[in-house]
Amino acid sequence: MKKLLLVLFLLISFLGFGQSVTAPDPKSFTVNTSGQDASGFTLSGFSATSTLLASISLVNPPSGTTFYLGTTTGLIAASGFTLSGNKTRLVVTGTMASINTALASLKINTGTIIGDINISVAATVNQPGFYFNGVNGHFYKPVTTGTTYTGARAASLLSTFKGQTGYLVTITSASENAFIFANVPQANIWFAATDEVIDGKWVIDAGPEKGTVMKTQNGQNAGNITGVYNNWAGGEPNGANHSEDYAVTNWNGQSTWNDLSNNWNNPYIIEYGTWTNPDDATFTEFYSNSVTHSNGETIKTLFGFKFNSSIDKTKFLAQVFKRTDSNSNWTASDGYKPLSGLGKVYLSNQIDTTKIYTTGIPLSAGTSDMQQFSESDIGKIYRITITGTVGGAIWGTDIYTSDSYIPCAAVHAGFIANGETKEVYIKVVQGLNEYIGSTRNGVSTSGYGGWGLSYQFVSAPMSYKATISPGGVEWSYTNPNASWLNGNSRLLIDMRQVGSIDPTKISNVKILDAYDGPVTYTSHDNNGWAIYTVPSPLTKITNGTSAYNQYIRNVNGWNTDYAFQCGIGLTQQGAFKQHRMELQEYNSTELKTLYNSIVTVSDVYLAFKELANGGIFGNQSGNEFTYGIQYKNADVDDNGVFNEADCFKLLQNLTGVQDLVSSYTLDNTIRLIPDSIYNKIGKSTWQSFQNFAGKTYNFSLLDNVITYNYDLAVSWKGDVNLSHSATPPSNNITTMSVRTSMSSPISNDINASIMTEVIGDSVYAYITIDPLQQNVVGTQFQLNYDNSMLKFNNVSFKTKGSPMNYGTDKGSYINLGSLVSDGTTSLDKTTEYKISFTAKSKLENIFGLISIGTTDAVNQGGSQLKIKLN
Amino acid sequence: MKRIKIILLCCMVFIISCKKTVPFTPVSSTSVEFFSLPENKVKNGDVININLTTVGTYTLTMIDTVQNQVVSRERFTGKVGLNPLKIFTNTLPTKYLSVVLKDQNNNEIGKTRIIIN
Repeated sequence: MKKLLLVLFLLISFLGFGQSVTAPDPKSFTVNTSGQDASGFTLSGFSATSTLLASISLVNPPSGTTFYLGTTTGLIAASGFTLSGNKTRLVVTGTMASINTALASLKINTGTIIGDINISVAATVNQPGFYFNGVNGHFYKPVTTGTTYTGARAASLLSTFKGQTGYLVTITSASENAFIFANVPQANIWFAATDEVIDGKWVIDAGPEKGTVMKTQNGQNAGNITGVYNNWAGGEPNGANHSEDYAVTNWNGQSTWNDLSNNWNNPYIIEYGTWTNPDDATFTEFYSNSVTHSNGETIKTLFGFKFNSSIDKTKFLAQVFKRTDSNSNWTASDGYKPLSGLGKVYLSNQIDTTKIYTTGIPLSAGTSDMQQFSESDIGKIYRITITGTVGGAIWGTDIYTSDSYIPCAAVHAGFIANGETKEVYIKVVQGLNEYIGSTRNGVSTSGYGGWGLSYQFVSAPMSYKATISPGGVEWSYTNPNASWLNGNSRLLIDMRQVGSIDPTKISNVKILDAYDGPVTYTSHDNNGWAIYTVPSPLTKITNGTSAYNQYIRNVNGWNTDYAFQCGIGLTQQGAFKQHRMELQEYNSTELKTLYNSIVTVSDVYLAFKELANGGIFGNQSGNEFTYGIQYKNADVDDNGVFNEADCFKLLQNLTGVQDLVSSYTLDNTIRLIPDSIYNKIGKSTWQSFQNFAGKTYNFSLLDNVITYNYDLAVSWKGDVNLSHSATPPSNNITTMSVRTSMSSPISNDINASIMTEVIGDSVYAYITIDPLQQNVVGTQFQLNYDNSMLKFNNVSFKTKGSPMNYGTDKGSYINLGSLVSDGTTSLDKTTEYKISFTAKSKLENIFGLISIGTTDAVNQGGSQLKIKLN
Repeated sequence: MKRIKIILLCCMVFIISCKKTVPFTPVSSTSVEFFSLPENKVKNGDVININLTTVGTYTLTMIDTVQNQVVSRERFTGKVGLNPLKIFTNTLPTKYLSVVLKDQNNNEIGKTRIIIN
């Protein structure tokens, strides 16, 4: 057994399973202070003997914010970095242990600017043969085997490094030139610069700067473009024999350049980029994590979108909008921010913490809950006069489900006493993933799972908070926990101290360190003393544990009367504005292309198969769908029932009769669902969850909460097989957090082939399939064609049995294929689609004029198949 | 007069000899054989020249080098010598492709890479 464990341990160590970076919890730093502890990041799961490449970064920190490492033993700074001193980024190499030791000594220096401090740490195994240049964030791989320039250029494009496609190295700065000279000992190294098009006009020939003109004439400095780096040897480039069109660096072992002909076989360097923000995830096999601390107390809002891995997250942007309760118009903040490659975006700076003061919208007398409202009412504040009670069904604490009984919830929240009649203010807020039950003020509430809409009680409009602070004259007085107060306390405030404020408008108090929360106005007398009920026994006062005990006078020694030698300050109370996050749309064309690759024949077949298994009266059998969200996505008419009407609409969309959506917008196609709700949508409960259609997500701020993490799963209307949606962790299991890649359902291949030819004025494309061992019941091909040169005529089908064949002209492509919706027969290798066009002008040949775009196929069991085009 | 002619002739020879050599351009050329280069940059409508030694039916296949999928294929009748064929790129889903030429017996007789400009 011990041997087995040892083998397993060695195997795990060798393979390096489970590499990760752990981040600490967010915290607030003190402004303008050096050397504050920022430890808490830890690398784990890497081989103890591997050399790692690790990065520590401050991402867009407030001005004046830097970090340093107290311990750097065993670390080597990457090119462009130094280990010592204050910095905003550091890249090092070292073992996991030495890096962890350094991370434990991470210190932050803050400036005077308040804001988010995002620290990101990333690590990867430092692969031998690759060099990292910290100045530009690029990796370099020298290739010592000599080849021609064009060979090097082509080979570079076929090279990949940790998910990045390479290109022949470009040299765009003196520091990059020095980096290459220092790290690559060979002479005469090809780099991507050429004048092959116009002699003497040298351009960068690869990478992101491709096409940039470097100089316009041959000669060391002649025609050099200002601002573009050139470093030619004396007399070079000379274009000797009009054939020296390609550039080398390290010419004759020096750091300067020369031009040579393509006949030379030289070494070359492949460049890969860019790794600057560790969270950008453009490289694979990098493990990263981040935390957003704050400099001073600031609100932090992080949105994490859980997209399917097949979706390019970086094409989306997000922005916060806000509105007051009395104004239904949403106001944009300062623009859309791009999502990182991990689907994350911080929108903290777009939060408006200014509170609003409102008279509220009157509710009808007798209104008992907020069920009549919807998401469109989120943020609105209503007022109603009620009598508090302790009987009634309530779910939640402070934030209650919309169907909770208002008079009882108000008592629980401390806004009204049992039996008291007064006006309360209720704000409609976003539904929660989970409601917590508790007992307060004699009322017990229940916990509950996800619910679509909530409400919370808010302070009265134009109300005030009285803060009792140490030092001063005894302007306030309390009877804590007197037996006649039923566990509450009585607070008296001399209103002559606080000025001409209506005492009924004081709704919250802070009593030293003994209490901070709402109070209920009781009465006031002619001498100016106002009396309030405090829903607390104020034990810190009665047992003498308050840090401000010296300012508290036990008046008569009976522990029932205390005077505060304190001042009183009043601050106006209000409610936070309502906020919402909105994703920016793809442009309509791009979104249409994406959406047409999301809802395909395999979705349609799976929907039909589930419907068939449910029987004529059944909504769902659960035999074909694994997750509740599949029913949500299959319910394309959003009526809460998955039935034949939905299947028919999916079929119409597939065959081109009618699109599934009226227009290609994110609002019509995407579904943003709080992650924990997404994970709870069960096969038998999916109808009880609201529809989360659209690109927006409303959220509410709370008093005394500064950190908000919103994790949103992304799904799509009509994506029945979840091929492009986030995967719930497991059916009816809500605690798992590990997702599987959505590409996993596509594990089987079938073969297909395309041929085109021109015959006279006619152009034909032929698609044939070979299902191999698969019982194929559905196929779909997007056949692109140039509509400026071809006119589509028709598709003729040669298929076994009688499948539903379809071929629709979508303008620039033909959507075509077959579907046996009941799965009773399958397609065989005699299947052939012949697509006919007419040339708009005389064509001798059509190479590339017609091409295959996206494809899909499904087998009899409902599994999506990958089509291999041979 | 003879001296003037000689001077003119010398001038012409000098001018011709000083004329810039046409730089190598792998596309739109009427003489460069497409498959003789390891890589070609092409744009929509460019003419590629394919040198064939026998008359027959040939196929040209475009393969997405990243996905390793065929995206387009044309069957054409080739003649002996250079066959100028147009290449169309507007509908192609990627910029990086390889092109394979096969004869009617499915023998590969040419292969190169293309980058769409």
